[in-house]
Amino acid sequence: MKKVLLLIIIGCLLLTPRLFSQNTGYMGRHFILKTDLMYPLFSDGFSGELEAIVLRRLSLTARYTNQNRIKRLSEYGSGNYYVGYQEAIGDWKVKSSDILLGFRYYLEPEQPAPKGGYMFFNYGFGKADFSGRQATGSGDFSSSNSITYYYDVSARNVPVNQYNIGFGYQSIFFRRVVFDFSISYVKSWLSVSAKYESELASLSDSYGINLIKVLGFEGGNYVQPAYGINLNLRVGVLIY
Amino acid sequence: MVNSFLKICALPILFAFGACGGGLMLLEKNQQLDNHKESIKKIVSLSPEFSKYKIGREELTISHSEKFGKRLSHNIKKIGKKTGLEIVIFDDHELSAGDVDYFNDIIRLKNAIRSAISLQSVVESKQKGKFFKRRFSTIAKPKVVVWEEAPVISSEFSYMAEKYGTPYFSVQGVIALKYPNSLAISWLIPPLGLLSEMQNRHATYYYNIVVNVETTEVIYREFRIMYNNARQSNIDPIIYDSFKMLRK
Repeated sequence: MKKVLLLIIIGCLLLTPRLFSQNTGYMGRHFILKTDLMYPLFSDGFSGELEAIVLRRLSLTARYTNQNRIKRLSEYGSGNYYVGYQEAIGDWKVKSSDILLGFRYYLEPEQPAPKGGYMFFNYGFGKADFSGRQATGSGDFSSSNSITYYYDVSARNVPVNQYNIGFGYQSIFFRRVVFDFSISYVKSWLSVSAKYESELASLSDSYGINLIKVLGFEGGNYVQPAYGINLNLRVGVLIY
Repeated sequence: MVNSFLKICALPILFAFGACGGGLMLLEKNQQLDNHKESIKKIVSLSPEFSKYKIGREELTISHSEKFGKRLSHNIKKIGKKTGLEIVIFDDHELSAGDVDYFNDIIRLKNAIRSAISLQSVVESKQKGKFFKRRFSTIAKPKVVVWEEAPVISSEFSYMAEKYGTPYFSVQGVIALKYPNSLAISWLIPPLGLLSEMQNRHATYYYNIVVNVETTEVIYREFRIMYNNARQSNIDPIIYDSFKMLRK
């Protein structure tokens, strides 16, 4: 993580001379600080983004997100439990922090970035904590002697990744106030150890996607990526 | 099967929507400008114009809004100062019969510039670079057409360089078009209604032509089309960019 941050800082320093010679920004301003309204509304979290306009129609973005979600699963699960088969049940708390790095390409040639329609790509990496309940059985579920056990499970610092690709529109009012709406296709995945594979298999879609899960998975005992559509509504200010 | 189809189709669909991008820009410079751009410190703007055209289904309304015109003049001056240019504006909103300078100098020069631009052809220097380079170079800087032979105006205006303290004079303006709203009946077929609602109903044109009365040549011509309304927050960054491009 430290190496990545160091590379970002070095990259920004190298780009600084180009920053002001090649593009005019919005009335001479090249940096925007934004926050996403979707995070406090839907995931009890926070998102902050810095956008730097590096070329006339290209900007770089760095975003920090923090989410606290509750994934509601069936209280009783499938009910068919046997030795070696576990299932996550009830309410699971998902807490994650990510850093997303990306770029935006502005589509309108008649005006320089950061105003107008754009296409973007973000790659995110971070950590997530999961905690909830799990059920398992003592024998063959079809036998009358089968007993179901419930116990609490928590997985901490699970590496999480995602990428977003999509398009949006950014408007600027009163010379400094920024409104930014975007919609993107997202793929998110968890990199869990074998110990948690079966418990977290049904939770991967609760990380990263905030609107529609386009593609799920059919279960199984390993974590598959989740695909979906993200909607973002950001407000911000042009700082300088 | 459905999942695989969605997985394959989701990205192209997003790209297709994303490609619905904006306006156009034509930027032309006299090849002599590069040698003189540092000397451009003061420009006399010959009464900037602001015209609004409202296109109805059965009528066309044209208005030259004094309020917007005054605001445009004020903003041009203010933005010019921000970019390090001194802009002197001859405002034709408050004229009297005694404004000799306006009728003798400004109107005549403005007409001469317009005639030169519309009647004379230019010779463009050949663009260097391969197709890919030309196509994507606009990411870093706008495409600029360089004139080998620029339109010329009469040398009779050269005295104005001394009179107004600068050889650079410009004609600027904004033309705002508003197209009719979609027919309410189209909503009877929802996809059609939605499509017509998504169409742009505004187009704003901005132009800026700069001449050097000493060399009698047009040194810079710019024309931008923006599919958005003529709000101040849309026009101001274009004017700012225009002044910056003039000196780059």
